[in-house]
Amino acid sequence: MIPTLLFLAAAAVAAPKKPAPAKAATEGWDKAFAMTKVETPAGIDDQVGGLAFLEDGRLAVAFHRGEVFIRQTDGSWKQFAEGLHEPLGLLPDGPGALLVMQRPELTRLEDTDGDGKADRYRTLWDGFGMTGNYHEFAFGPARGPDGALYVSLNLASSGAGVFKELRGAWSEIGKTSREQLTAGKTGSAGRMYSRVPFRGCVMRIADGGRGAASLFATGFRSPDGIGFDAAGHLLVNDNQGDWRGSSPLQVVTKGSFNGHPASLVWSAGWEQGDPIELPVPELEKLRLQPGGVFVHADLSNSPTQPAVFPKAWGPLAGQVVFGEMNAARLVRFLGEDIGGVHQGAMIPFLDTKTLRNGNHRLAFAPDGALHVGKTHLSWGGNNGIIRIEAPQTLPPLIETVHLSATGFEVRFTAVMDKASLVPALRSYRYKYHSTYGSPKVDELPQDSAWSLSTDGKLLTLPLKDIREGFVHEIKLAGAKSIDGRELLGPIAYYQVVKTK
Amino acid sequence: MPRWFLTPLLALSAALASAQDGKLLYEQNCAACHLPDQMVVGPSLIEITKLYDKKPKEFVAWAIKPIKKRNGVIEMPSMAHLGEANLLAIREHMLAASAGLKEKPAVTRDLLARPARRPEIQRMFLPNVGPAAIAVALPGDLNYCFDAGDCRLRTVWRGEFLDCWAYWKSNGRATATELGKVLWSLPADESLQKRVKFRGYSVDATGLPTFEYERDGAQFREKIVPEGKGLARRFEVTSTKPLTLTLDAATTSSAGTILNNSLTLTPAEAKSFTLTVRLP
Repeated sequence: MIPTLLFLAAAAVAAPKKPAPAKAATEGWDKAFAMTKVETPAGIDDQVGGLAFLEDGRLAVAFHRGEVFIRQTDGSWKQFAEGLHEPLGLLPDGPGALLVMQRPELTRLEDTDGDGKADRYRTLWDGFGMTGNYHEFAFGPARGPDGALYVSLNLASSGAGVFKELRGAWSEIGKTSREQLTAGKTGSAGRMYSRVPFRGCVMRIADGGRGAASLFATGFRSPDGIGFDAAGHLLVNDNQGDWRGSSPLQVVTKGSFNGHPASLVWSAGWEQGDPIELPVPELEKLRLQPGGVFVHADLSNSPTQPAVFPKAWGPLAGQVVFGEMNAARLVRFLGEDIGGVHQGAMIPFLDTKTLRNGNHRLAFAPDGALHVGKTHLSWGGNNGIIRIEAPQTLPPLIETVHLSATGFEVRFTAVMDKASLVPALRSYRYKYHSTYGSPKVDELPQDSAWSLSTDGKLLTLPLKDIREGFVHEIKLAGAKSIDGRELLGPIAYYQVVKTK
Repeated sequence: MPRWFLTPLLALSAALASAQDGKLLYEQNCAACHLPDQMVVGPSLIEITKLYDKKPKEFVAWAIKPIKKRNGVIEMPSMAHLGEANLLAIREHMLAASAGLKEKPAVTRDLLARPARRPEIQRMFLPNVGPAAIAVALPGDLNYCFDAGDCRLRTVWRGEFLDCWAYWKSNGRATATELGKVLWSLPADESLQKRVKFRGYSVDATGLPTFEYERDGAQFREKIVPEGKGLARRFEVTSTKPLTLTLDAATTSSAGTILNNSLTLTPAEAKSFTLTVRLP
C-alpha cells in the first residue's frame, strides 16, 4: 500500500533526478591532514596559473598577471619573470630555467647571468593559431618519458567572437563566416569552435621543446589538466560541456580523437567537412573512450592538473591526484590496465570546506607536502596557495579499486568494521552529444553478495552485470574502521572501458 | 530491501526537496557562475530573486531553455537534466540565500593598479594588432606594441602605459586600453606571418627588451629606445642576401640606399643600423 502511493507520487513529478545526499561530516579530513596557507607575494593578484618545485627544492609560481615568483629558502619571494600573457603551466628545465605555457606560446625563461631573474624569454613554440577569443587558453607543458613536451590548447567559445587580426591560417570549415565572428556574431559557430590551427588539440614538441612540433591528439574542449602518471600514461582531462556529458579523463594515445569534434579539422588529410555535422554514431566509433569520469555535480565539475603522489604518502605513492575548481575537494584517480586499456576509479580526496574551491595547480614539495594553487578567472574559484603535509599515517581511505573478472575488489588502508559496510552499487553513463552536459542515463542499481576478507582490508563485490562504457559507483556511506574512524572518501566511481 | 521499493522513495524525497537539497544542488550546479551578492559570470542570487520572486514556472522555463539576453554575458547552458522538482528546490534556496543581502557593487577599479615601471614589458590583448602582442613602456613617456605574430613594431603611443583592468578582472574576455595618444601605427598584414618566426626577447640590465626573430631567412635583433621626441630602432641583422625594408614617412635610416619607400642594405650594412622614427 505505502510503496504504491509513493510510486504514484513520484510519477506525478516526472521522476526528477535524485539529488546527491548531503556531504558527510568532514572533521575527519581536517583531523587527518594538516592544511596551512602559504603566504603569497604582497601586492599581486595571487591567482595561480602554474606551480612547480625547482630541482633545488624551491617553489616557483606563475600568477594571473604574468609574474613568476620563486619562494626562497627563508620564505621570502623573489620575482623571476614578469609580463607573461596568462601563464597556465610551469615546468623546471634545469638550473636557472623554467618552461612556461602562456596564451601565445611555450616559452623558456632563462637566467643566463645567474642573478636570480630571467633575462631571456626564449620562444620554443608559437606555431598555433590565436583568434583573440578569451577561451583559447593554453596549458602545459608536461614532460613525457620520451623527453618531448606536451601542451594542450583550448577551443574558442561562442561566448565571444574573434579579433579582426588573427594569428594562424583561418579554417573555412564552419557555418559562421570570419566576418560574422569578427562582428561578434557567433550564432551557429558551435558552442565551442576551432578556426585556427590546433585549437582543441594536444601537441607534442620533440626534444624537450627544442625540436619539431606535431599534432599528437585531437578532440578536446578545455583540457586544463595535462600530465603523465608514474607509468608514463599521458593523462588529459576536459571540462563538462558540449560533447562532454561529464568531465572525462582521457588516457591519450598518439593520433587519438578524444571526443569533441571541432578540432578534427586539424587531423592530417581531413576531408569530411564540418566535423560538428557528422552523425554521432560515426564520431562515437572514432573516439577514444575516457579511462575515467569525473562525475558531474557529485564529484567534480571542472577538473584540473594531475600530480603523482610521492613516496612520503605511503600506500598512495604512484597514484594520481587531480585538482577541482568548483568544489572544495581534490580527486584521486586509481588507474589500472585492463584488456590493454588504462581505466579506473575516481575517489573524492581532501573533501573538506577547509580546502576551499578553485583548486587549480598541484605540486609536491621535496618533503612530500602537497601544494595547491588556486584561481578563478572570474568563474567560481579562489586564490592563494594551500600546503597539505604528507601524513605520518593515513586515515581510513579506499587504497585501491580493482576490476576482476567477477566484480570489484576494494582495498582499504585500515581494517574495516564489517557491520558498518553497506555497499550501494549502481552503474550509469552519459550521453555523447552536442548538447551541453548530460543527465546520468541507463542507470542500473546493482546488488552484490559482498564479502570482507578475514584481515578486514579487502572488500570483494561480485557483480552480475559489469557494463562496458559505464561508470560503476560503489558507495560505502557510513563505513568505519574497526577502531571507529570514518572512512574518508567513501565512494568510488569506476569507469569500465573493458571488462577484461 | 528490493530496489523497486527504494527507487520511488528516493524520487519522492526529491519531489519534496528540502532547502538542504536546494543548497546542495545550487552548490553543485550553479555556484560556479552565480554568487549570492555579486555578479560574476551570471547575475547574483539577489537579482535572480528579483526576477523570479513570484515566478517559479518562469524560473524553471528559463533554466531549461536559457537564451542570451545580457550584453557581454555568456549564455547559460541548459539545466534541463536537473528536472523540474530540483530546479524548484534550487529556486527556493536562491530566494532564501539572498534574503537580506545587499548587492555588492561590482569592483570598478583595479585595487592593484600602479604606475608603469619604466621600462616594463607586458604581453596583453591590445587594440588594432594581432592577439600575440607585447606592450613595452619605455623610460620617458613613450610606449609601443611589438606584435610577435608578424614580428613588427605596430603601435607607438605617448602617455601612461596601459589599463588592463578589464582583462585582469576577467578570464581574458577583454582588450587592454592604451593610455594616452597613439602617434604611430602600422595596419594589419597577416601575409607577413608566413615569412617570419618569432624567437623571443632578451632583457638588458635596465629592463629593455631586444626582440629576436627571423624574417625571410635573415636573423633579426631589434632594440627600441627613446631618442629625442621619437624612437630609435637599433637593428643587428645576420643575412646572406641584401636586406629590403619598407619605410614609412616618419622613418629614416642610418645606412643603406633608399628608393621610393624601399630601404636596401647590404649584408655588411645590415649588421648594424638604426631606423629613427620621428614622432610629434
